[in-house]
Amino acid sequence: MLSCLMNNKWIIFLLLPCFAFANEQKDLSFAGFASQGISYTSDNQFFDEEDSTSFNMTILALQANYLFNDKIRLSGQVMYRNWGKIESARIDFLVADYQFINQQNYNIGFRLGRIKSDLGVFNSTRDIPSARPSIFLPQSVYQDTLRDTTTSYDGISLYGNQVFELGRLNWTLAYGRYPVSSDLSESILGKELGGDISTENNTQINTTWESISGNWTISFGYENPQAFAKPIFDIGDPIAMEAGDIKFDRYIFSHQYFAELWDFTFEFIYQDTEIKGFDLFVPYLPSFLQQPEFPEVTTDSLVNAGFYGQWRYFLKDNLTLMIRYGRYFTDIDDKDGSLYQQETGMPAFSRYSFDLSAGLKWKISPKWQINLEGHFFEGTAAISPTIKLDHSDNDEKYWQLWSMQVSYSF
Amino acid sequence: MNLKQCAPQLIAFVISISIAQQSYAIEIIVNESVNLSKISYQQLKSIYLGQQSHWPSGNLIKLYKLPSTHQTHQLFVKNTLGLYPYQFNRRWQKLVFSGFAAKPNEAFTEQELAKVVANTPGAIGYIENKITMKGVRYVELFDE
Repeated sequence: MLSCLMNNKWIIFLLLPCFAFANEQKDLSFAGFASQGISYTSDNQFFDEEDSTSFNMTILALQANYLFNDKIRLSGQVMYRNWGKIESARIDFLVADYQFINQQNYNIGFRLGRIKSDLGVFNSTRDIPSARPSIFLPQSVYQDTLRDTTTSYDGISLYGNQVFELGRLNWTLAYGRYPVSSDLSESILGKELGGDISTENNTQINTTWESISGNWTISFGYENPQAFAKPIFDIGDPIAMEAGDIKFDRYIFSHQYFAELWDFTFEFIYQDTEIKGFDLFVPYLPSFLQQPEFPEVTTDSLVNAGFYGQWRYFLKDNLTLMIRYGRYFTDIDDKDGSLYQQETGMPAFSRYSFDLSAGLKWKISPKWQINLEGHFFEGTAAISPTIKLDHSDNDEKYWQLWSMQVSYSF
Repeated sequence: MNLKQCAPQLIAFVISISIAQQSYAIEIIVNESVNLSKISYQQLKSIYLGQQSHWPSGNLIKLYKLPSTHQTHQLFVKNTLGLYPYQFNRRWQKLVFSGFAAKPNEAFTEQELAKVVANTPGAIGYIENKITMKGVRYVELFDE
């Protein structure tokens, strides 16, 4: 953890001025949390490579909110995250917010900086224990393998809300680039390939309609993140991959219903994935030998789709029960993966995943919270890289994930 | 039963109704600098859901609330905003931890809340029963 912080000294330099500004407490406020968990994975490598039982589940976050003047609000959050295979310290968001139109029935403003993506119900708070429904979000819609392309972007967003007779409309138009880490290249290329990855500008549209009494909402969101990846290979590698482009057209539909003692959430994702390049070849093959024929990776219309339904029941004021079922398909035209297996010889179950989960959230006090949950999976699609050559680590069709987490927030 | 006998009971009944009603009356208060005598339920909701950060005059809204466990706060959320308290809490968790809005300021008692609203330009808050205090303006709620 220390080395990770050392590598990100700029975070500390960024925090210092925040503290220096702590003159009048009314214009500056802080919030944050710390959480530690333990997880057990029965089979496959969803979480930790080394062990099926892992304590590599630590998240620390500190955020500051500062009124720069009467018009502009600055807000930032730094986050340290040690989550299974990934350890990172990053600026989660750092944003200037300015509402320039305020009327009785509508407001319009813009944000500039590193902005949290607000696609879907849980994206903007996917790491926040007090604001997410479970330790692991439904992988059918919020795949952790693609989290770099859904977390926060460097750019600008225009947002607003308007009250109508029948309801309330919230909207956001955003343009920006997702900063990515090597984690994403691993997710797209698989760790046996690795490589450099960069992203291009992304357009995001979000609209939420809320009933006038606020007891239900429907939302629609769209974005088109795009990444360019250049795999790295060594002289000794038997097989290598050319550089390539991967482009997503991502649509999310969400619905939430709120009752006094329970709430229901349904979300559906439709993701058109276009993959160009990434041709396989044998590196350093003498020119008199012919390259063998490899399966084609390029595809112009691979459609991933997923959905889940989640029901939460408030057993007590401070105790919530969650039950959820979701399905995800890597290729909507080959839902059971049989075609894929025929063509590539790789397991059919790596092309879909079904997840039945149940969990408890217990708020022991306003600041302390315990989460407990279990997931029963069939298939490994949600944990497989987009372009995957080796499935030997994820070779169990049926597997489970159990997890517990303690969080403190202030 | 004649009317004379009933009268005291009737009066007691009427009084008890008016007390019961009064105990549910949430009053919206603003700092006297805020040029507002009426506010719609929906606009109040925009303000208390972190969707409106400034008054139409352009001045910053200083948002005040009572602690989440306070009975008046729960009445305010349920009856005035028309939301379940868990919805209100969740929305603020989301707003604060994604940087979309600043955490509302909290006062521990109604008396304290009225006092800080009286002393803070642009402030808005709510109390259960009217307190006469210099610097505080009562705002009437209306349906659009």
